[in-house]
Amino acid sequence: MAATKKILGLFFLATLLISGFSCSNVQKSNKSVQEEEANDTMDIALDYKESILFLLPSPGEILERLYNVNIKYDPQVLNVVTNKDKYLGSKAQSLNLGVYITDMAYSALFNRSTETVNYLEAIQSLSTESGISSTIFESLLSRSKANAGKIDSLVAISDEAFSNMLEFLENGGKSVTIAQVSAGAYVESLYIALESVKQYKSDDKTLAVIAEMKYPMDNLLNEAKNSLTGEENSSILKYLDDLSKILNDLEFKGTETSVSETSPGKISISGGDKLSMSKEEFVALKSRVNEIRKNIVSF
Amino acid sequence: MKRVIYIFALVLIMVFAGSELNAQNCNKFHLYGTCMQYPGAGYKFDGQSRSNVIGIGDKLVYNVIFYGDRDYKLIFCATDIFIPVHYVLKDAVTRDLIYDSKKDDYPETVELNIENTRRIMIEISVLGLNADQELTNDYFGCVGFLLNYKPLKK
Repeated sequence: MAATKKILGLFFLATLLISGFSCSNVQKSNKSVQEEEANDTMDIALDYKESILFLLPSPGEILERLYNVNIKYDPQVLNVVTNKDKYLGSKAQSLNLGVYITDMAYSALFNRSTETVNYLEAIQSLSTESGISSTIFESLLSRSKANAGKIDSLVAISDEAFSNMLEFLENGGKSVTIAQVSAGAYVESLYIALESVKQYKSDDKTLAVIAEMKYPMDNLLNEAKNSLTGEENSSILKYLDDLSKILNDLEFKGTETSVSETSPGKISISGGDKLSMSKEEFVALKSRVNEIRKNIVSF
Repeated sequence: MKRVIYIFALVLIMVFAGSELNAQNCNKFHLYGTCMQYPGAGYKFDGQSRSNVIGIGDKLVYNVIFYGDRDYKLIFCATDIFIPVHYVLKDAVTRDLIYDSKKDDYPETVELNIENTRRIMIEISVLGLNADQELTNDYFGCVGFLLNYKPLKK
């Protein structure tokens, strides 16, 4: 009986200690792994602890810009779902997870219900291999089947698949996987965009959309430099660096940025950079993206 | 004796499982908190919307892509004891100030009309002006922003 009392006493003490540690640490440790201490913001009060997150639009949001300039659906540019079982190793699987997410978003935008479901199933399968819980896609799969033919629903499901996966990875502190998946998704978006331009014409609106991919690239590269520090990921950093250099060399045209408050809480930001792409730049970018994409999807 | 060990193990599992739940309790806060307001007709959800854990004295900085020819509506929210949210928008390249919510007494929403695609830094901190300072200093809460957009009317 005395021994039992001692055990009970120890048990409550242990419980209290564990609860105490959980409560004090848990919220801090939950901060996204993409955060880093910002050391270049001299204008910020010194008594703040500052964290910075580089955000990326989902592949669906990037492709929507292309859809709005009337690109044509071309299934030949996509990576076939049957390749999913051929990717071995976490790097290849994560990169191609990103590729398939973009391909799903592309299929959803063009209201290809069967293809959207097929890509979502491939994503679920590859996610499991990459250590991502397949359960986060289950309700999306049943919703995508139930919403066949409804373009808005399919696009929303595709965006949700991307954000669910990012959230799962952020909570698990898997910043390397996030960077790998994002790199795969971004390269595939760029590949689809460039392949949709069959012949260069300087006034083609698609070129302007491709040029503005420089902005998510800036954020992706910042995030990747923080996360992909190991030798095994140096090839991904090289891919992103090469693309970034080409995009950063594009000609900036535009006017000085002007900010005005048109009414309380309504801000208008006019002017700023407008990027343009010469034929030589287009050819160079397309050639490098083709090489990189081939390296990613081949097995 | 076996019963005591069994209870001990059960409580340990509950404590750890509980901490795991707590660790994720800011997930999608921007979709369930006071951020979830009807933005107006024609607005679409932007996937760059985010939530995170925050405490008094923390500053979260988000580097966000804003596409050209769009109207954006940004809605900020936080756990009750931490409101109001103080947010500052800056050009991500030049760091020039675009908007400081302090100027308008920390409104929950701001609208941006963007002509050309650009990166904007959103700096977020919480003030907890209506709560006991001892309470706000000791706890962490959630903060989020919901980003909605629609094509710019020309």
